[in-house]
Amino acid sequence: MKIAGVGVGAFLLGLGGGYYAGLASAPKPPAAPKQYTITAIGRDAEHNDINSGVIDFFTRENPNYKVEYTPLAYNALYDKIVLTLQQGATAVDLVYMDDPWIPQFGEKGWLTDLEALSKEAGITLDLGDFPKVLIDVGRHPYRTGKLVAFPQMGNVQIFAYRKDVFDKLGLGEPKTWTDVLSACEKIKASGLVEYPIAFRGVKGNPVATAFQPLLYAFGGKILSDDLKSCALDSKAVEALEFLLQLKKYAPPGVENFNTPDVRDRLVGGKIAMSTETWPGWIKDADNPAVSKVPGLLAYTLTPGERERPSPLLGVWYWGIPAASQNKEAALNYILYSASARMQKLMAIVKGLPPVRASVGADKEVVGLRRWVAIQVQSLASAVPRPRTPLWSKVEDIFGGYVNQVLAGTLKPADAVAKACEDINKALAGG
Amino acid sequence: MSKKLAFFLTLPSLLLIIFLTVYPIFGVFYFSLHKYNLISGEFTFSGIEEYKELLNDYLFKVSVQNTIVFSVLATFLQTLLGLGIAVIVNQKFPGRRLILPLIVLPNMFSVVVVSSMWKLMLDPETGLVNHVLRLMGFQPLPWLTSVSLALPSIIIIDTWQWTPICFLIFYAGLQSIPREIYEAALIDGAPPLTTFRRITLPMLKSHIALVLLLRSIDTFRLFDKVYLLTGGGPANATETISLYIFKTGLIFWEIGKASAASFIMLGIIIAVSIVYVREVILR
Repeated sequence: MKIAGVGVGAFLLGLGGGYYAGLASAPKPPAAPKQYTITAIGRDAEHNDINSGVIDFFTRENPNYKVEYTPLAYNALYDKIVLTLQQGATAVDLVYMDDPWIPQFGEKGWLTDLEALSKEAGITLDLGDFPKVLIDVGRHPYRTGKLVAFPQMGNVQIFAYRKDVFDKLGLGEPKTWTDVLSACEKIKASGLVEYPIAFRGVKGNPVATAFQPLLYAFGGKILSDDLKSCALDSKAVEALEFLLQLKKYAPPGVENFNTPDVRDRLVGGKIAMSTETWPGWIKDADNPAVSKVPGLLAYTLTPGERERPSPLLGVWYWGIPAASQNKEAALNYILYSASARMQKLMAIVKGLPPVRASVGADKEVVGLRRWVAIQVQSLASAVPRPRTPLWSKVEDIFGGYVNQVLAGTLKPADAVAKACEDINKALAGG
Repeated sequence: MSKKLAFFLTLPSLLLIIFLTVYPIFGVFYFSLHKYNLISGEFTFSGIEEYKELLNDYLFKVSVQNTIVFSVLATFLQTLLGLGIAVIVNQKFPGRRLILPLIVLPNMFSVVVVSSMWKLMLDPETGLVNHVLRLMGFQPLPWLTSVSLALPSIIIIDTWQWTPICFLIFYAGLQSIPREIYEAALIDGAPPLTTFRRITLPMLKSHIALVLLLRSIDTFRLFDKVYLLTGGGPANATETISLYIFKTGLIFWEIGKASAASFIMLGIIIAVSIVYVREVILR
């Protein structure tokens, strides 16, 4: 109720609030009565909820703009974007992208250079409020290239745990994976929660994503720095062996768990921890109407071990196809959507994980969405998926072998050796 | 009607079939002879290289093996159950008309609904199936998460959904067998099993062939249930050719390799279809 009340207030504030702030010299959209129709393709589910909210504000405040947004499921969106961009179709002005897709699209020159476009439009981009890694990832090549994607939704892994259970057992905030394992033992012995921990174990992207923070914390990595060969080694074996230790404390069938299986158990109070938590999973965890653990979850950075915490980045970006006929209008929308005012509004009303540091420090936002402070902090230390156009294949191979280890059909050392063999083959174009 | 007129009347349909079926098949074959990646832009003639790579690809071999096992077992089970139910329902007993819609019900649900429903029912902890097993004093089973049980579980789910269609075809076939033949057999003193073996089965031969053909083709294309229930896991235990093609073509964008895999799949389906059509239907 509180959030809903503030949401309505924020909505009215937004309507009367005039023009957006945060981008120092961003000009207001053209005052001339010229009509603009922007065609956008993006994600469904909570992304659709957020983007539709932004579009609603944008078109109310800029009546000469119309935004046609088509929501699609993850794979359908990826297919649609690839086919649209590959054909050089002019019908789409905005594409909503998961960050691992950027190297693929950037490599082919399918996306517009947003800095050059801003310059042409007389807009000075102020990127200082965004964690550096988000801007680095939006560039192609990574860090050094043109800015081809603009951050919109700051998805990043955080670590969620049951504060009440930890307090009862006298456990402190888990800082390392060893702390997590030790907590698992004590929680299991106490019987306070059905299972101490869960994680996504289904083959491919889910288990690869869930396992990577552990791998990085143990000092391992999947690809070499030049992205040309597999870099999985004994540290990866150790990390896999550690994952098997955690599996002992997970519900049966964890090797087939996907997002709903982990999220529902976390918010349903059936597990005390998850090796990874995404903001979308716990955005309403304090709402007793949908959560059995309102106020009971605490959030912290993904644990480290030998290395510092390395949460995985899963940020969503807006990009403008190189063939778009409406680039300036599309840019105006992107800047509006990523403005501090809109990010704050959407964080409060819709549970958007913001991409701006200032929003993460905003007391009003953090008061209503407790996880935002950690989420924005995690963005700063986050690790992006290796920036290679071949990542989806590498991830699929890697995730397939991690799943085999979880299923007990391969030993960690054999899985690492075989994964490396296949990854090297894939990188060589095989 | 002159042959010329008949030809011109069927020409539009013929052109449509050529455009929608023959042209794509040639297209897929053409791409399968190339290294073609939509993301890297590579497009070079490679002959049978993609086929060779596939035959050396462990995951592809596993997916072919799983697909064949699934197809054979699911088709056999569905045909057997469909026939059995049809024979029972074909007997006269009270409430027969009420049972018919209930039998057909599973086939009315979409695959997404069926998969979600069964995923809940087969949940190791909270699922109905394990609950019943526990009540009966058995150990709960990891249906979708065990390497040895995942594929059989999907066979059970597919059988639950598709047996009604087999039943309908057999039931229609049984209804078309003249009653007089059974009456003559009864007068001659033929026992029920002999009547079934000597009359029912031979009379249903073409129906059985049709069911086997349709279910073999359909089960060979298994994708949606696996995608929704297991993602091909655990440990590749439910990886199928369709899933392999989907990932290779639409996630990795290796169009050449995906086309080669599609062509192999098409070849197997055509071979199976030819056997059925030649051995049973055309005789």
